[in-house]
Amino acid sequence: MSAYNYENFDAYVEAGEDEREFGAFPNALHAGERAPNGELTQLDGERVRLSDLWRGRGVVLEFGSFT
Amino acid sequence: MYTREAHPGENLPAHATFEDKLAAAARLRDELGISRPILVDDFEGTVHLAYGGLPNMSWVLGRGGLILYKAMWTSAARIGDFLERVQAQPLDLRHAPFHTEQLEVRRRDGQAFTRGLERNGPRAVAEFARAEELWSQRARTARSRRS
Repeated sequence: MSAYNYENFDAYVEAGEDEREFGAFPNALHAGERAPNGELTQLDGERVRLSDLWRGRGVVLEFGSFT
Repeated sequence: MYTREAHPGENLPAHATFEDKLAAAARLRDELGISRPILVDDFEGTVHLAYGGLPNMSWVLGRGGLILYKAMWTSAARIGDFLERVQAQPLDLRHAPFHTEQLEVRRRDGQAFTRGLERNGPRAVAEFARAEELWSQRARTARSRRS
Protein backbone atom coordinates (compact mmCIF):
# COMPACT_ATOMS: atom_id res chain seq x y z
CA MET A 1 0.00 0.00 0.00
CA SER A 2 1.23 3.49 -0.74
CA ALA A 3 0.07 6.94 0.29
CA TYR A 4 -1.18 7.46 -3.26
CA ASN A 5 -3.28 4.29 -3.26
CA TYR A 6 -5.01 5.08 0.03
CA GLU A 7 -7.29 2.45 1.56
CA ASN A 8 -9.68 4.68 3.55
CA PHE A 9 -11.40 7.69 2.00
CA ASP A 10 -12.42 9.19 5.36
CA ALA A 11 -8.80 9.06 6.58
CA TYR A 12 -7.71 10.74 3.33
CA VAL A 13 -10.18 13.57 4.04
CA GLU A 14 -9.34 13.73 7.75
CA ALA A 15 -5.66 14.20 6.85
CA GLY A 16 -6.66 17.20 4.73
CA GLU A 17 -5.34 15.64 1.52
CA ASP A 18 -8.51 16.53 -0.39
CA GLU A 19 -8.26 20.19 0.67
CA ARG A 20 -4.60 20.27 -0.32
CA GLU A 21 -5.15 18.72 -3.77
CA PHE A 22 -8.33 20.65 -4.61
CA GLY A 23 -6.75 23.86 -3.28
CA ALA A 24 -3.66 23.46 -5.45
CA PHE A 25 -5.54 22.70 -8.67
CA PRO A 26 -6.50 26.27 -9.68
CA ASN A 27 -2.91 27.47 -9.18
CA ALA A 28 -1.03 24.95 -11.30
CA LEU A 29 -0.98 24.16 -15.02
CA HIS A 30 -2.99 26.70 -16.92
CA ALA A 31 -4.68 26.95 -20.29
CA GLY A 32 -2.09 28.12 -22.78
CA GLU A 33 0.69 26.06 -21.17
CA ARG A 34 2.09 22.72 -22.30
CA ALA A 35 0.51 19.67 -20.70
CA PRO A 36 2.68 17.15 -18.84
CA ASN A 37 3.74 14.20 -20.95
CA GLY A 38 3.84 10.67 -19.59
CA GLU A 39 3.60 6.99 -20.35
CA LEU A 40 0.36 5.05 -19.87
CA THR A 41 -0.76 1.48 -20.47
CA GLN A 42 -3.63 0.43 -22.71
CA LEU A 43 -5.88 -2.39 -21.55
CA ASP A 44 -4.16 -4.73 -24.02
CA GLY A 45 -0.88 -4.06 -22.22
CA GLU A 46 0.62 -1.81 -24.92
CA ARG A 47 2.35 1.33 -23.67
CA VAL A 48 1.51 4.71 -25.13
CA ARG A 49 2.90 8.18 -24.49
CA LEU A 50 0.51 11.13 -24.31
CA SER A 51 2.71 12.90 -26.86
CA ASP A 52 1.94 10.08 -29.34
CA LEU A 53 -1.76 10.86 -28.91
CA TRP A 54 -1.57 14.64 -29.24
CA ARG A 55 0.99 14.65 -32.08
CA GLY A 56 -1.51 14.85 -34.92
CA ARG A 57 -4.77 15.81 -33.23
CA GLY A 58 -6.34 17.11 -30.05
CA VAL A 59 -7.07 14.90 -27.03
CA VAL A 60 -9.87 14.95 -24.45
CA LEU A 61 -8.50 13.44 -21.25
CA GLU A 62 -10.89 12.46 -18.47
CA PHE A 63 -9.53 11.03 -15.21
CA GLY A 64 -11.60 8.60 -13.21
CA SER A 65 -12.22 5.36 -11.34
CA PHE A 66 -15.34 3.34 -10.41
CA THR A 67 -16.50 6.20 -8.20
CA MET B 1 -7.38 7.64 -17.75
CA TYR B 2 -7.92 5.15 -14.95
CA THR B 3 -6.40 6.37 -11.67
CA ARG B 4 -6.52 5.19 -8.05
CA GLU B 5 -9.83 3.95 -6.68
CA ALA B 6 -11.22 7.04 -4.95
CA HIS B 7 -13.56 5.13 -2.60
CA PRO B 8 -12.09 1.70 -1.85
CA GLY B 9 -14.42 -0.86 -0.29
CA GLU B 10 -14.86 -4.57 0.36
CA ASN B 11 -15.59 -5.32 -3.30
CA LEU B 12 -12.87 -3.09 -4.67
CA PRO B 13 -9.98 -2.43 -2.29
CA ALA B 14 -7.14 -0.03 -3.04
CA HIS B 15 -4.84 -1.38 -5.73
CA ALA B 16 -2.00 -3.40 -4.22
CA THR B 17 -0.09 -3.88 -7.48
CA PHE B 18 -0.07 -2.51 -11.02
CA GLU B 19 -1.68 -5.75 -12.21
CA ASP B 20 -4.58 -5.10 -9.78
CA LYS B 21 -4.98 -1.66 -11.27
CA LEU B 22 -4.97 -2.91 -14.86
CA ALA B 23 -7.55 -5.59 -13.98
CA ALA B 24 -9.77 -3.01 -12.23
CA ALA B 25 -9.65 -0.78 -15.32
CA ALA B 26 -10.81 -3.70 -17.49
CA ARG B 27 -13.67 -4.34 -15.02
CA LEU B 28 -14.62 -0.68 -15.22
CA ARG B 29 -14.83 -0.93 -19.01
CA ASP B 30 -16.89 -4.13 -18.88
CA GLU B 31 -19.25 -3.23 -16.02
CA LEU B 32 -20.02 0.30 -17.17
CA GLY B 33 -19.80 -0.47 -20.87
CA ILE B 34 -17.23 2.22 -21.62
CA SER B 35 -16.38 2.43 -25.29
CA ARG B 36 -13.76 5.19 -25.11
CA PRO B 37 -10.16 3.96 -24.97
CA ILE B 38 -9.04 3.58 -21.34
CA LEU B 39 -5.42 4.31 -20.47
CA VAL B 40 -4.01 3.19 -17.14
CA ASP B 41 -1.52 5.24 -15.17
CA ASP B 42 1.38 3.60 -13.39
CA PHE B 43 0.94 2.22 -9.87
CA GLU B 44 2.21 5.39 -8.17
CA GLY B 45 -0.04 7.68 -10.20
CA THR B 46 2.78 9.60 -11.87
CA VAL B 47 0.70 11.13 -14.66
CA HIS B 48 -2.40 11.57 -12.49
CA LEU B 49 -0.39 13.55 -9.91
CA ALA B 50 1.31 15.60 -12.64
CA TYR B 51 -2.17 16.82 -13.63
CA GLY B 52 -3.19 17.54 -10.02
CA GLY B 53 -4.36 14.18 -8.71
CA LEU B 54 -8.08 15.00 -8.56
CA PRO B 55 -10.59 12.18 -9.00
CA ASN B 56 -12.62 13.28 -12.02
CA MET B 57 -10.79 16.06 -13.84
CA SER B 58 -11.13 16.71 -17.52
CA TRP B 59 -8.63 18.33 -19.82
CA VAL B 60 -8.77 19.26 -23.49
CA LEU B 61 -5.33 19.27 -25.08
CA GLY B 62 -4.68 20.72 -28.50
CA ARG B 63 -2.26 19.37 -31.04
CA GLY B 64 1.23 19.33 -29.51
CA GLY B 65 -0.18 19.14 -25.97
CA LEU B 66 -1.30 22.76 -25.57
CA ILE B 67 -3.76 22.99 -22.66
CA LEU B 68 -7.03 24.45 -24.00
CA TYR B 69 -9.40 23.55 -21.16
CA LYS B 70 -8.94 22.30 -17.60
CA ALA B 71 -11.74 21.46 -15.23
CA MET B 72 -11.69 20.19 -11.66
CA TRP B 73 -14.72 18.00 -12.38
CA THR B 74 -15.95 16.49 -15.61
CA SER B 75 -19.07 17.82 -17.30
CA ALA B 76 -19.76 16.22 -20.66
CA ALA B 77 -22.08 19.12 -21.53
CA ARG B 78 -19.37 21.73 -20.80
CA ILE B 79 -16.75 19.85 -22.79
CA GLY B 80 -19.19 19.41 -25.67
CA ASP B 81 -19.93 23.14 -25.74
CA PHE B 82 -16.24 23.94 -25.56
CA LEU B 83 -15.25 21.56 -28.36
CA GLU B 84 -17.95 22.98 -30.61
CA ARG B 85 -16.60 26.49 -30.08
CA VAL B 86 -12.99 25.42 -30.62
CA GLN B 87 -13.88 23.66 -33.85
CA ALA B 88 -15.92 26.61 -35.10
CA GLN B 89 -13.05 29.05 -34.47
CA PRO B 90 -9.69 27.67 -35.51
CA LEU B 91 -6.59 29.49 -34.28
CA ASP B 92 -5.33 31.45 -37.26
CA LEU B 93 -4.38 35.05 -37.97
CA ARG B 94 -8.01 36.13 -37.77
CA HIS B 95 -8.58 34.53 -34.36
CA ALA B 96 -6.66 35.17 -31.15
CA PRO B 97 -6.95 33.11 -27.95
CA PHE B 98 -7.93 34.68 -24.64
CA HIS B 99 -7.90 33.27 -21.13
CA THR B 100 -11.09 32.72 -19.10
CA GLU B 101 -11.73 31.42 -15.60
CA GLN B 102 -15.07 30.58 -14.02
CA LEU B 103 -16.69 28.61 -11.24
CA GLU B 104 -19.22 25.99 -12.26
CA VAL B 105 -21.70 24.13 -10.06
CA ARG B 106 -22.28 20.39 -9.91
CA ARG B 107 -24.42 18.01 -7.88
CA ARG B 108 -22.46 16.19 -5.18
CA ASP B 109 -24.75 13.23 -4.76
CA GLY B 110 -25.61 11.97 -8.21
CA GLN B 111 -27.34 8.59 -8.41
CA ALA B 112 -24.51 7.13 -10.47
CA PHE B 113 -22.05 8.17 -7.76
CA THR B 114 -24.16 6.55 -5.03
CA ARG B 115 -24.43 3.37 -7.09
CA GLY B 116 -20.65 3.39 -7.46
CA LEU B 117 -20.13 3.66 -3.69
CA GLU B 118 -22.58 0.80 -3.09
CA ARG B 119 -20.90 -1.27 -5.74
CA ASN B 120 -17.51 -0.81 -4.04
CA GLY B 121 -18.98 -1.99 -0.73
CA PRO B 122 -20.49 -0.91 2.62
CA ARG B 123 -17.16 0.48 3.80
CA ALA B 124 -17.05 2.87 0.83
CA VAL B 125 -20.57 4.09 1.74
CA ALA B 126 -19.74 4.49 5.45
CA GLU B 127 -16.43 6.27 4.83
CA PHE B 128 -18.08 8.72 2.44
CA ALA B 129 -20.75 9.47 5.08
CA ARG B 130 -17.99 10.15 7.61
CA ALA B 131 -16.19 12.39 5.09
CA GLU B 132 -19.44 14.37 4.67
CA GLU B 133 -19.44 14.95 8.45
CA LEU B 134 -15.83 16.14 8.24
CA TRP B 135 -16.76 18.54 5.40
CA SER B 136 -19.65 19.89 7.50
CA GLN B 137 -17.29 20.47 10.44
CA ARG B 138 -14.88 22.29 8.16
CA ALA B 139 -17.67 24.48 6.82
CA ARG B 140 -18.80 25.32 10.39
CA THR B 141 -15.22 26.16 11.41
CA ALA B 142 -14.80 28.38 8.34
CA ARG B 143 -18.08 30.18 9.11
CA SER B 144 -17.14 30.78 12.74
CA ARG B 145 -13.76 32.19 11.66
CA ARG B 146 -15.51 34.64 9.36
CA SER B 147 -18.00 35.85 11.99
